[in-house]
Amino acid sequence: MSKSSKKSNSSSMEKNEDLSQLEGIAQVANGRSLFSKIKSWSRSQLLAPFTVGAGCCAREIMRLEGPNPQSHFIRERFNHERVEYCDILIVSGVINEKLSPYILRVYEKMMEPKYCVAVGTCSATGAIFDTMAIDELIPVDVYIPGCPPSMDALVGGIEILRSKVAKGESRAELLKLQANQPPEEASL
Amino acid sequence: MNNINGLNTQSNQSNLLRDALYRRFGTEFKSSHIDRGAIEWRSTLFYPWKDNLKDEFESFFNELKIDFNFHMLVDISLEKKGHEKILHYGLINLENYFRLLVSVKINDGPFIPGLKHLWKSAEGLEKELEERHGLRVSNGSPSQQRSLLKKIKKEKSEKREGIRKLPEYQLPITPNQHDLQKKWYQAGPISQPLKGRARLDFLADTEKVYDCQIETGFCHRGFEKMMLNKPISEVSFFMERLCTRDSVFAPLIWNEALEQRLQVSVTEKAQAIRMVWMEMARIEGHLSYLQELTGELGFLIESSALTELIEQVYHLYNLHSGKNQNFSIFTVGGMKKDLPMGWATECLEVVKYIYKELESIQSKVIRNKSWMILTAANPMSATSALEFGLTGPNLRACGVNYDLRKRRPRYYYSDVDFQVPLGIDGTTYDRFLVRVEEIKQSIKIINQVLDHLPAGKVNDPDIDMEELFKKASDTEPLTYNMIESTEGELGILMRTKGKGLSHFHIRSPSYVHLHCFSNLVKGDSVANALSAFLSLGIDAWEMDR
Ligand code: SF4
Repeated sequence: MSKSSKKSNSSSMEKNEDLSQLEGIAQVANGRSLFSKIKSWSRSQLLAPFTVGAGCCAREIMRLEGPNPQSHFIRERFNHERVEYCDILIVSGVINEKLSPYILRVYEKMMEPKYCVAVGTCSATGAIFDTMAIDELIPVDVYIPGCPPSMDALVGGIEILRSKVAKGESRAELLKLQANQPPEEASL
Repeated sequence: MNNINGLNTQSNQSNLLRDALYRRFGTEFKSSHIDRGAIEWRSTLFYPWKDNLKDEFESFFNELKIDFNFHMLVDISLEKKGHEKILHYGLINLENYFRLLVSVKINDGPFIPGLKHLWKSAEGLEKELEERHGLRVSNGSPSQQRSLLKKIKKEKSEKREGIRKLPEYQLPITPNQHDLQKKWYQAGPISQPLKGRARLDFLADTEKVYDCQIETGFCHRGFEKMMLNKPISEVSFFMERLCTRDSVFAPLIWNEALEQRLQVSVTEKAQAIRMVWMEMARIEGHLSYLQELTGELGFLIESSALTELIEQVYHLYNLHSGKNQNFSIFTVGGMKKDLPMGWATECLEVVKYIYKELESIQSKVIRNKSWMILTAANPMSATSALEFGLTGPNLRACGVNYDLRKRRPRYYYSDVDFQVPLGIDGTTYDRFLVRVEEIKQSIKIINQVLDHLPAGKVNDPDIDMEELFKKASDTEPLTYNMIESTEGELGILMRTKGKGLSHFHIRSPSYVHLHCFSNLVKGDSVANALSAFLSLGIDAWEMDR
């Protein structure tokens, strides 16, 4: 754990050279800088989700914005117009061979670090209509099961995502780190 | 319910028409099992297709259209029986309300003859045959990518987490390279107003759209083919997930088709409750349509007020079934659950509230100058609406009075008092207004039904499905059932075999409606085109199946 997190530290220092000194000062015990902690915490306070998919689950996701009593937990707008400003992809409904390139294109355009939420059985496993699962295409952070998931499950899932964003635990980043590591280290 | 007073003269006329058809085509017309109520279905087995019979085929359909006034082609479906392939064409004569099912046997020729020159709706339906079944249609326009699901079914062990590269689609090349102002623009399938329904490629300059190509299949999941491998008891589960707009009409129509097939009657109270549910689903579907359209055109306050009204309908669903969508509430012979105590009162209160709120929203929107300007575009004439095979509110917005609830009343629709709202010139404005009025009429129906709710049971617990299937298994007739769903005629054409299905086809209104779109937007601006797309009320899942 400590090794990988040190790596992430060094890579971020290369990126922002002007901030490198500040980050060096703010080094704390568990390997993450205070600065990056603040960054990811503030990101978790205003999520920027982009929704993909037109299933029955999408209808349920849209209810999160509405006047429904549970939706006051969620402060986000769920249909941002620009993909470039979003860092969370919420996928629901059936994904087939024809739609998948477009999902990938959206995913590539998104801001880093990227997070992905799979809502409903269709997108999480593809079991209902025997189609593709979203994790065959892109790494997924939170799965919300159900057909369709209940409102509580949806709100709970978003809260889990929020805590992940606050910690900066993006699965896509983790996979990238693992791919960059030399093989003997990866086995640890 | 079969003898409907107002339709006697109509049925006389349709008798005349049937006789004329007999006289003309003689032995090829056979009576089938599909007669029901005021609707006539005749099926014929036509010649196997050969090269030299192409002209005969075309002149046959030409005669049906010109001499017998079958102005609407509503559906084409392909049935496979062993090595045999049969095409079923569904035609409507609107004057006498006579329906015809023409069945054509085809063999493995290079092409099947296209009917695009006779009915414009044939273009989309034949494209579907090409995409989903791999048939070639002469003079058809080939689609850019077939939506067969074979490739997807790879081995699960190969599943690998990570980012994969997949081939990307390229826009068509501009036909005239010298005209630099015309370009192809791509909209969708993921971007906001389209939401996975379709990809639209516009050939346009800054002012006008010159051409539009539609690509569908982004939610295709092989629904019809999948049902052939399922036992009949499981189909209802999937029918609830056919359409994302509402999950009432599709499971209802399936249960009705089974009732029709097995000759089960529905109890009186269940009939009334089904009517209430259908009208509630219509209210919900139209409300979400209005919400989407107002939101897209920038009327955000009205849009969020409409969201609140949808929640009210969900509340009613929840009280009866415990869910707000995908409720398994219908069963063969009635409803699974009786209404809970006090539901009727609650429902009456809620619909009253919806009516009041809707009036105030309507008064704010439709008299608004900017709304009038934004929605005045994209008119459609009644003739071209019929040619494209439109049904439901989209057809009524063009001024054609065609509603299956009036034309073919079932349950107590002949006893309740309601009107069919009509538009004038089929603009987005009319399509909006027709739906608003339909919500009010639905509320009127709900009020009347709940005032006279019959007593008794909601289902018959003694129905033995095993027994019924055994009785019905010696014949295998085609069963067609249709319903006036939120957006038009939703139909099922099926053939049962033992405890499974040997043919299953869904006539989805959204798919047919989509193909009038390119005609609708030519000569108008791209901005209007997207609102026109929304105003057709297309549902992605129902369309792609
Ligand atoms: S998981 Fe169920 S509810 Fe969700 S999109 Fe799929 S079928 Fe619809």
